Amino acid sequence: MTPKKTKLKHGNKDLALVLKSHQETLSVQLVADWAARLHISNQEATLLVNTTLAQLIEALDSGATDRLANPFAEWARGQAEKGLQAESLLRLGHSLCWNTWNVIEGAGGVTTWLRELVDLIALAQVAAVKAMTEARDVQQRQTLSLEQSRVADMAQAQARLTQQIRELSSPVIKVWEEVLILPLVGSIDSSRATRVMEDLLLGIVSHQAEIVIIDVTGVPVVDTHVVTHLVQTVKAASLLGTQSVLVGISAEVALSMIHLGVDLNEIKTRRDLQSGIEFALQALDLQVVSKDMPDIEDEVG
Amino acid sequence: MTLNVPRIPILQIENFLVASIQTELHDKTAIHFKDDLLQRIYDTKARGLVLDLTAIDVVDSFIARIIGDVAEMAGLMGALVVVTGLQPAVAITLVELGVEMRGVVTALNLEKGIVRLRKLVADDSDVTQPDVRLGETDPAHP
Amino acid sequence: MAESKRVLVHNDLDIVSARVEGRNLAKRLGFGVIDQARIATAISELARNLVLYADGGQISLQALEAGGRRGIQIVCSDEGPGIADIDLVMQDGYSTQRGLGMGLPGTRRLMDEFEIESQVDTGTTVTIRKWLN
Repeated sequence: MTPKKTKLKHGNKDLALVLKSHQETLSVQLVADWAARLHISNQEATLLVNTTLAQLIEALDSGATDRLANPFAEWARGQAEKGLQAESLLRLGHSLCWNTWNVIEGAGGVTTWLRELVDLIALAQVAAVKAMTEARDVQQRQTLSLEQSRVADMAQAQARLTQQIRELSSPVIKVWEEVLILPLVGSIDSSRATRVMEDLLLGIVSHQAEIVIIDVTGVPVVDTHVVTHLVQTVKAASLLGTQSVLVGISAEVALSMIHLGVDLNEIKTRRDLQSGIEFALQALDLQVVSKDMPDIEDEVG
Repeated sequence: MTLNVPRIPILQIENFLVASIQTELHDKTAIHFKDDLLQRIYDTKARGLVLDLTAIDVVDSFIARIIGDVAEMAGLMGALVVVTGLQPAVAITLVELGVEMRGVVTALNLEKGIVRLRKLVADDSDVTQPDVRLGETDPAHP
Repeated sequence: MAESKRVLVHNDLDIVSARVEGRNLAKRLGFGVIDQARIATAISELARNLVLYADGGQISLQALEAGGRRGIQIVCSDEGPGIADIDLVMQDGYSTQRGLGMGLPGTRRLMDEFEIESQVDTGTTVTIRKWLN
């Protein structure tokens, strides 16, 4: 994306001349600062600083703001892959402004020029951060991570859906590639339990599920019969190569399961649906991460 | 009357054997198949076997036992067995019959079975009882 | 009109025939795929007992009609040694010297109705039924 070209209002060429004449002093100060901030060697910092200054001067001279923004964005995109954080980028921009201002003031320059400089650098930063987030998005998609909020949304939508499910149905819902949820609502007698098991297995085959989450939160009484049916269902699913997770099991029910001789190593349980979904995603080597990117545009310009 | 017992073809893919049972499994066929399989594992030093049961619509206690035997003996020869393609109706029937196939790892289809087998063979060394995975349990909060 | 079929069982090929016939009848009566598997497997278990323990026998398959419901009945009978202790063989986990059980408790679980009659030195008859919902 190219930032829009704007003509700087006051004495761009003059500012460019001033910067050119003080380039060496400015460079020394910036190199020391940037090397520290980016944890790079003086050599690397020197190269970066000189390139940036040259581009800044070019941009001021020509009045074309993208002369600074584009190269800076490209540089940032490359750095993002090496782990550069947007916060570091902002600090670089700040450093550039501050040090340049010092030089201009020292040279008796008019500080109204500073405003334009700041705008220019700001534009470059925005371009750079956008490039960085794009690069990171691609990376993220490759590691298939999900924001926690999305997992919570999925659980919420599922809960709403469950409320609408009538007792006699036992639909199987696909929530992610190879992950199914079987929400059970209402009491489960023998014949219903059998239908549930049959529907689940058919669902496993048609969706090619690796993991199924059986949610019994909506079952008022999970007695020994229900537990026996659940165990049978889990065993049948495992014959198809599918892992099962039971969620919504209260402490009392878990205890009665142990008394029934159910091997809790065979049957995984989780407290609630969200935990169940997270378990399922993790089992498939999918990551769940928190959302953490601040909104850059508010901070700059 | 001589019986022409059809042999079930056993293929080799990478260092695994793959056998897909396409015909009705008479007892004699099953027993010959077991013997052939074990012989092939021995001859090829295969690390794993995928047994595809997609076409089987009845697995009674006898057949289940043979499968379990194959898994156990293959294991003794250093090969892991993955059973694939069990039909839902068959899985349910097996569970209701109360028959357990110990030592048998399962997967939904042939492709997943091979992927699974590769993984299992890769982390091998101390695979003893691959029939059921251990997991943590989290009996709910009060 | 009630369908009926009789299969003589003496070897392993007959076991397969019996269960194939059973499945076909179940299918014609309208049983779903999973019930077809249950019925075929139950027949297979019973037929195998004929071959293993009774030196052969016969299996009769019958379509049922009662109280507006349709169903299937399978009667498996032999003139073998009979079962001395029926309660024992009806326990899960019971197995003979060969390490094989008779599969009776499992068979009962697969079907809706299960009856067994046996007399030592005379023979055994097992009757199982499944109904369409």
